[in-house]
Amino acid sequence: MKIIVTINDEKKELTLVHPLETLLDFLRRHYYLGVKDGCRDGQCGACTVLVDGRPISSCLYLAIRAEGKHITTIEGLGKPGNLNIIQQAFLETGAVQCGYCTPGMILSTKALLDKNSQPTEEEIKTALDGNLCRCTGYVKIIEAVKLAATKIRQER
Amino acid sequence: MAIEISIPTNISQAKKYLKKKFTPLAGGTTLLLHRQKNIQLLDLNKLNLSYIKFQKNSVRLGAMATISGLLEEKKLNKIFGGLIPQALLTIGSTLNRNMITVGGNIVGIHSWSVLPGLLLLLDAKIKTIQKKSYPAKKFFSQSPKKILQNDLITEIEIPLIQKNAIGGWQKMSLTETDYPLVSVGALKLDKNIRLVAVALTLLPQLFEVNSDNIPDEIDAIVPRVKISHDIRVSIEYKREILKALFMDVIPTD
Repeated sequence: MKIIVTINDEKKELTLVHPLETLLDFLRRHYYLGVKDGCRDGQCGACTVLVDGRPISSCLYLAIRAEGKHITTIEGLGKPGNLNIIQQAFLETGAVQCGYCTPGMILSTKALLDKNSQPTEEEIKTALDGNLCRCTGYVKIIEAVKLAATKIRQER
Repeated sequence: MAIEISIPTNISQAKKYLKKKFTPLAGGTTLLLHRQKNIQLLDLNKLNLSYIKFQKNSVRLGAMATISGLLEEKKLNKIFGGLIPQALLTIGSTLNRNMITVGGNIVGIHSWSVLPGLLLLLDAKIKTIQKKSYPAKKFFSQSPKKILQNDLITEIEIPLIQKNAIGGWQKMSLTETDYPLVSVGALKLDKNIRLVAVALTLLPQLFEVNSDNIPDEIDAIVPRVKISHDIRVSIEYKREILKALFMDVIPTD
């Protein structure tokens, strides 16, 4: 079974191994390894990707549903040496320790700031409430989102 | 493992697959959580059921509207004193709410499902592909799967007849996004107050009190509420939480 899906602005025709293959497994099988396998239960957010701009848990999303949609993984934002504003903000504030939650955090942040470039702290917490971090205690992550928001507003 | 997925683009096609005992697939979260095998799936994604339509005396929600979609509808957030967003924001996390659908949250009923309780509170009607219309009280008197044999929810209709009704919702859980220990809603209609409790048994429980003597009425109700065993906390503890939440959730004018 094949589906046509746009991943990080590249349109592709890709094969599903199984009708119930999750988007997480599908993306990782096609080497989008920034999509992390965490809980497989929709609880941790490590597998977060954007589907048509909305963050979802790819472990609970059927790959077949991605037909015709635009998927954004962490690989679609910035590259080494040319990081996205949000990625840069996370580095500058020290919001990355083990890094496992970071792709999910950054994608949820992108979804938030694309809709609202001046979020309150409560809005930031709500936007990231599906992304768990065992390392940082979240303080630096919230600082990173605020810094990214400021930089995005300055650019506009 | 035998899996088949059919994706109808209109209601007639969907009805044919329902007759063949295909299992409806809404947001997919329940299906994948339960890791079902040997299943024939009916993907509802292309049936154009994700609408929110306001009419003169009601609002109609398509069964495939997501919880996030409802939260983004400003008019929906203003009615009943903000009851609806208060209730919806207790459902999981932002990531979950982007996928969970109205229909899925009703049919895949779990002890933590919020929408059944909310719809019971609001006297909603549940409408199906076989053109049946169930008042929420009847629909949630038993497991929805028993009512929906070869049938499928297409729409929820919430009446807006009582313009001055105001409500509130509260959830008690171990973390912000965890399944609730206790979740309650209230709707004040003049002198009468409706109270609903979810997450205590599989089905929501509805009560009515008179606003003249709220503490005594709640004291009378709480011992009557059925509470199932929960590995996390004792039944007695849940009953204490319930009493406190009932007192807290009733809106003051």
